Parts: sequence; C-alpha cells; structure tokens
Amino acid sequence: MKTDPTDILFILAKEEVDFVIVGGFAATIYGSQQVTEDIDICCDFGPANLMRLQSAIADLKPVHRMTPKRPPLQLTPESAKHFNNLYLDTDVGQLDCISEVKGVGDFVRVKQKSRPIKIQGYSFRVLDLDALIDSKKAMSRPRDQEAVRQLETLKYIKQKQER
Amino acid sequence: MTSQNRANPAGPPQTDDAMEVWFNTDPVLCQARRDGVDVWALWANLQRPVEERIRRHQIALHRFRLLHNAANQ
Repeated sequence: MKTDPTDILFILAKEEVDFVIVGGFAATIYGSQQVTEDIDICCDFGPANLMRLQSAIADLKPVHRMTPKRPPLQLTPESAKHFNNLYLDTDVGQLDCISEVKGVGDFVRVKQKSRPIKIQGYSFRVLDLDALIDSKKAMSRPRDQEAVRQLETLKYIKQKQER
Repeated sequence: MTSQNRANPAGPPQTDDAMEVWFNTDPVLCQARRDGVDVWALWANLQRPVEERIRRHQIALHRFRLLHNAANQ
C-alpha cells in the first residue's frame, strides 16, 4: 500500500485528470515552511473528468469525509453533474477537489493562472505564485495569513535574486 | 561588471557576507522576521529543487503526525 499522500498526484497525472495543484501543497512547492496534511486541487468538474478522477483513485478507497457516515465515492456520469466540490479521504490521505478558488475564479481561470511543473518526471500544473497569494488573502484564516507572509517573502527574495 | 550588474547595480548579494548583511538590513525582510517568518529557512528552500522541498515537507508532516498521535495517547 502506498503511504505517501503525494502519490495521489502521480496517480491523477497518469490517468490524465485535468487539475491544478492549489492550497498548502502549492505553497510547499514554492518553498513555504508550513506543513499541510491534505492535497488540494482545483479540477474540471465536468462529468468526464470526475469519472476519470474516480477511476484513478478507486484503489485508494476514497470516501466523502465531511459527513460522519463517510460514504464511499460512487459517482455516476449523471450524479457527477451535481457536485461543485469533493472533500475526500483516501488510504493515503485527504484529497480536496474544488471547482473554483476563492480570490482567483473558476477552473478555467485557475488554469490560466497556473504554470507547468515537473515532479519526478511527471508533469503537473500549479497555481502561479501571485494567484496563490491572492487565494490565501481571500481566505483570511490565521493560517492563511501566515501563508501569505511566507509566500510574499519568498516572492520578494526570488525577485531580488533574479535581478 | 557583469551584464546583470550593469542592468541593476544594486543586484543580488554576491557573497555570503553580503547576503547576511542584506538579510539583516533589508526593511522588507526585517519586517517579515518581526512577523515571525523564518527568512533564512525560506531562502534555503529557494535553493532546493522542488522534489527536495516536497521531501522535506513529507518528513515534517510525518514528524507532526508522530507527535500528534503521541499527545493523543
């Protein structure tokens, strides 16, 4: 059994699920020191892409995590049309799938504001640093305020180094 | 002068000593440190490839979970 939550990302990439890495893990990619337990992705919530996602993570026994009964993920092309977000728990950790990012916009906008990245030979898209900062500012929870401080500092140091 | 310095004479610090001075005197970085940001840790992370940043994050996450589980026993 895989034990690394980041394996979820490789699985999704292999199955060609259309998504962008956002949230705390995106911040980690940029160099943030904050620790995050879950993987947040913004993805195309069209039925075809959701069915691809479900198929990709089926072996990880995904369940809906924001309800005490924690029912298994059992989408159909018809039922998939009714979801805007999927908050899942899997055997290797939490996967939160959202259709839009506060402070940035819907998936089309998020994808426009993303950049390509390669991790261990796999290609991904991650929200760009400016959009990530905007999304954290829009959330305004204390941990997001800390994230903004770190990301803005990273951006500042990077800009100075690249001159 | 390198072409980079010609474009921006202020340029990034060229030596470790100069880097240290910059980190300790730049007003933006000083404010970040007062806000609790570990600017040296962030700078170190910027020198690492993405895979290494992720690897270190997973180590920290594992440590967090161990301590969290220990506290809940």
